[in-house]
Amino acid sequence: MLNFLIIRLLSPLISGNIKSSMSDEDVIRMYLDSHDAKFYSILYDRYSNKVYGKCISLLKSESRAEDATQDIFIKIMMNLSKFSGKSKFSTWVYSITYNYCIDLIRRKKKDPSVLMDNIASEHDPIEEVNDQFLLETNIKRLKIVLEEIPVGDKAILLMKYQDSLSIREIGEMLNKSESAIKMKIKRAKLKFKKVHSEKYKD
Amino acid sequence: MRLNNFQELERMEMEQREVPSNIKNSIDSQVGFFKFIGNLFELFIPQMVDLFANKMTNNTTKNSSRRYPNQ
Repeated sequence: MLNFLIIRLLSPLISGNIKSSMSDEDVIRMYLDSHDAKFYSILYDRYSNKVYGKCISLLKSESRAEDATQDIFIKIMMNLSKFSGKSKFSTWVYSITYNYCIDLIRRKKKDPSVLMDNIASEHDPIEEVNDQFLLETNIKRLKIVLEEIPVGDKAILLMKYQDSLSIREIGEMLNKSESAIKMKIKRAKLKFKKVHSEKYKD
Repeated sequence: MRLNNFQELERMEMEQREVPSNIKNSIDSQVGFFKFIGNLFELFIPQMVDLFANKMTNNTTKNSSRRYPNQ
């Protein structure tokens, strides 16, 4: 109760500068204590651009990305009290974003295979593609190749190289074992290389 | 911190577009609606429970009074 009163009294005094210096966890705590939409808006301002960008990138449609962003933020808001703080808030937000988009693609395409385990080929030997190959691909080509590869491969490469998530974090996010994730990354890199070499002969 | 080219691509794309303002407006209106429903429940459910409880107690009293017609 006292906490609530203090936050209520202090919230008008919180200026833009202080807001921007507050950690995500502090903002969440203040939002959960006060239910003041102002605090939720801070989180929205921090993450909406990234979430919207990921939705466009995966769903390849601005109108679907708008709807998805809206649903994702409502989901985040409704589940904010369940955020345990074990991982970074950004990781949690991206996890909801990727899972939402992947589910949507599965339902739209009626293709359950997006990012699902391929048990038969799990242990097949596959060529290892060096990280440097991906990281040294120039940005223009990178964008084009990422558009060409299957969305599941694209998502996993973005998680690993764009969001710098660890194998464990990706595994927790997709509810899969670390070895399954390693295999998926390997395959996605191979697919990337294949498409790249088909498009660019040099 | 130096960005790798995946992150650089994301940064460039973020610079080129803005999140449409209608997304925030829709979220606000949906949240407003949820809050309204929540308030409605908060306001009326305890009263409904009270009413129901009173009704039950009255019924029990009435029933118990009818137990002995000559009472």
